Amino acid sequence: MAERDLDLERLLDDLLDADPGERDRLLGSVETEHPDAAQRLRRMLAFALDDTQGPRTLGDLAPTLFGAMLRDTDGERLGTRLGPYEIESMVARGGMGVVYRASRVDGAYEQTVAVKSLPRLAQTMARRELFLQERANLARLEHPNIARIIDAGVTDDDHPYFIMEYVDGERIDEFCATLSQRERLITFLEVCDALSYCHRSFVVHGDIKPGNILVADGRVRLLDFGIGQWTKAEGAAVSSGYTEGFAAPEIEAGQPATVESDVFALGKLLHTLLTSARATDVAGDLSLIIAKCVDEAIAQRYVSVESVRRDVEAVLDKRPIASRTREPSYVFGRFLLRNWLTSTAVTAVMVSLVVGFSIALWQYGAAKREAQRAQESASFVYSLFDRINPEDAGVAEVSLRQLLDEAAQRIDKELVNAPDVRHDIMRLIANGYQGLGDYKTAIDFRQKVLDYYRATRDSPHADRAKALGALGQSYASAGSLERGREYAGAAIKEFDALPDGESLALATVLGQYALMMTNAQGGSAEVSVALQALDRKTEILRELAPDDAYLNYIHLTNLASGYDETGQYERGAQLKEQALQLAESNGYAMQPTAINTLCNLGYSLQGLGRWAAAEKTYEKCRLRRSARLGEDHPGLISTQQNLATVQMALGNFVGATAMLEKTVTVAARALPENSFTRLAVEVNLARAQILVGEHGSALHDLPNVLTRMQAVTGVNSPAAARVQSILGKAHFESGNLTEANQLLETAYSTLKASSYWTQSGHLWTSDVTVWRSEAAFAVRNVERARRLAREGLAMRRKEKNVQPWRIEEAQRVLDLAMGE
Amino acid sequence: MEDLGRITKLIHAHRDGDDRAYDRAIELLYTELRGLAHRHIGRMGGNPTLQTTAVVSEAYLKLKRNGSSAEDSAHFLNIAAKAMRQIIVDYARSKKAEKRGGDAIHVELNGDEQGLHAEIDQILLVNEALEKLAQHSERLAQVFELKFFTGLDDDELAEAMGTSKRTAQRDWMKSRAFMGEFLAQ
Repeated sequence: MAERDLDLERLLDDLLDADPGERDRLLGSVETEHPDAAQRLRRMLAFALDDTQGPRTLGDLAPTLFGAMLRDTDGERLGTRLGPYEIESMVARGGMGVVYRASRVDGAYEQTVAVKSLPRLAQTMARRELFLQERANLARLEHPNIARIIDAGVTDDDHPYFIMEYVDGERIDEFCATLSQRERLITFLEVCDALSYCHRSFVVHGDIKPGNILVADGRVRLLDFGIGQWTKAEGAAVSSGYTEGFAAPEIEAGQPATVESDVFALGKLLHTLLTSARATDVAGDLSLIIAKCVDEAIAQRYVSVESVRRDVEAVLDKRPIASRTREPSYVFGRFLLRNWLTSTAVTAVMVSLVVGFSIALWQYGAAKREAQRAQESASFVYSLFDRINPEDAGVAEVSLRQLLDEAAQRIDKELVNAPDVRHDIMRLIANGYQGLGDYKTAIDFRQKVLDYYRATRDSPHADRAKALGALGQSYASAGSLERGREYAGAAIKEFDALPDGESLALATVLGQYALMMTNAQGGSAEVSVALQALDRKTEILRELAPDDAYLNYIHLTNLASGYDETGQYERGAQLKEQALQLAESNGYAMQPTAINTLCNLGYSLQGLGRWAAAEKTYEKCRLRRSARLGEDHPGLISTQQNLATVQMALGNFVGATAMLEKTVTVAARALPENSFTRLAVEVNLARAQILVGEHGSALHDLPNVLTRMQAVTGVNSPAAARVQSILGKAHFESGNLTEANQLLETAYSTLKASSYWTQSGHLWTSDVTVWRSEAAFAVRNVERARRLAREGLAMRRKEKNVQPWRIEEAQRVLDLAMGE
Repeated sequence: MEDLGRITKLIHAHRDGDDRAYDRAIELLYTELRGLAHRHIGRMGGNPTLQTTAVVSEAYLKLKRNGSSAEDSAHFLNIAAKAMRQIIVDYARSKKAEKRGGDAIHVELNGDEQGLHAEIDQILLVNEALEKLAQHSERLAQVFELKFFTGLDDDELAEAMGTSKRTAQRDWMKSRAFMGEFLAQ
């Protein structure tokens, strides 16, 4: 009997039942046959009998950790800033992060937003890059049933966050509880609409569940697009306890989200909606639809949300549904077949796209570029479809996987006389399997392709390099990072030895290589290799001919945001400029995303203190936004505010004032009276008016602004104090010294007590200090005026990217005080 | 505990065979426990052992006071232990990731932090050992989880396990023996 077959638990029971003498005898008898086991039992007995030995409670074992955890609660984020937003209150807390309500405090166009703070990303360059890429995807989504993602970033302490439109609604399952089945289905169709739109935009949701779908004012809103994968960053095994069974089995197994995994979750959702608050069994066609959504086998599921939608509509219309038919209903119509043919060169697209998107690509025929490749490839694929002509009854339906399997089988026998074409197709098939997430088969094919190229092409050769890179990618996807890196490294070497070209392919491999290096979580040497690889990739993309301009554009902007977020604005600005050039020369400069990049570039330039360049950029951005949105759209508010800021920096107070007047008009039309944004613009206008000598207007408008500001932010809020200080300054300029003094002192004591005071270089605190100096001087309190002026000047010097006039003004106040 | 009613309902649903309800209950409890733990630190400061116990027994007592059945209470204790385990292991993991992510910037660790990092490793080891124990015996793993993460006394443990107090004590001894052995490996 081997030791592992011993029933240690029973033996332990026997030992515990026995008295000490008997124990020795028992242990002795075990010892003769299993000395190791006896040894273990002795130790175990000691642990069992002495409860001071071994772990007893969490508090004993990890008091410091436990204490730290209790202190380190998320509630501490209240009142803190995330980018331009200030967190006001907590909305919800769950295992996967915290949702807060927040307001924009720098005076831009969103008044109330929801901030979702996610569990910490183990921070690597590659992860950050992916996260930021995701943000670009999300920002593109605009749909009435999707809660808009406004921004995303990573906090100072490494927590990624998303800023979303604030939806004050009810969970969809709770909403549905009181509805009839018909109404529930109609509600469900809205979810389908949103998700389908998303898939068409090449974004998978990844975390469809009732908690992520709210109904507000009778309208369904989908939240948290693409966030699912970030919440699964680390410790997936433990976290899976929270998924409520909506995650497809392949997701549970750690695979990335795909169209099919979204379909799976959709099926679960449908079931939940139909059964919530009543213990009915879902039968008939609806149960078939659900079953088809949640099939364990990916290939058996609906291939798209649209097909789910069609079947649910059929149920509503009492028509027969497609999933009644025997075969999987992956209908590849003629249209799609045509696309398949023009997509034989889909290779480059597929390699570069996230796994799972490839199906969407095929489905929506978006991969038409790079048409004609080898004529023979086309005819092979054509012949493949010949057999399954959709017009032949009975064989009309075929799944992507079936297509691939068919191709894989036939390729062994066919095209024997055209080995190059044959391997070309094998590459394609491998890509298909990679796209479907069948990495093992992809590895098989890619290995064969590599072997063939190694046998037929002399090194260095582009085909060999690409084959190496592709194989590396499959290994990495399959979880063999080590081999993945080996092959990717070899691919880079091979590319480097090439006399010319192939830079896009090299860039792809470099990106993958960097990802593998950082994911390996190795030492800093590996990280720096990864960074070098990323840098090279950027270099290449910069020089690249604009074949794949949009992808490059996206890549550049993402990389730029990455640099911005690490404080490397110079590099960020450079990359944005390149991205914009790409956009201009490819005709999508007027796309919202390109306009955003332009405005962000302005922001980078502003951050670098390059005021003149920033002004030009904002000007352009404003023109384009207004051309797209109209002159009076609230989307212009932030741009115009920024423009006014740089105009002031350049000493153009008159221009800035005019711009702000215009903005106040827009805000007054578009935003409610107590919108923080609207208030902020009005405050900024008053500030500018004082600088151009129009303190009368400021004096007239500000009392009303102050009342509203106090209503929104509280009577003694720092923001209200800011208004008081400006009002005080306006009184001072108008010669009302008593009022001025009173307001400035009130403002001062509020600000002094707030956290703003300790933040080095905050505009509000230096302003009130300089103005108090002026007020002191006016009543001949020279000593106090000098002290405050010195203090104010020092504070302004500490301001980040201080605008020159601010130093000059403070200096003037000091000179005046010193002159007396 | 506002969600107690919902948790009870979910526990019922789980008993009637709805596996999702169990996960949802853990999720709710996780949220609740974090909230409770947060309030406790303010009230009691210092000793975390006390807090763990206090957090769970506060919820548990309320449940009993609301007239829940023995079966429901047992369910609750099991769910609480799982939630507590999840909270602390998640936290330890995030701390560990933070430490790893900090490679680029060299930080001098003071004594407290060194202790913290040792504890992080300990907790993660306990978690692993517990998974091993579960492969060997689900029941012993459950006993250990209950005792270790919520600090139940023997009576409560017996109630949670649905056994006699004597059996509960014996199981606790055995689970300690296995865990000690796994951790020593």
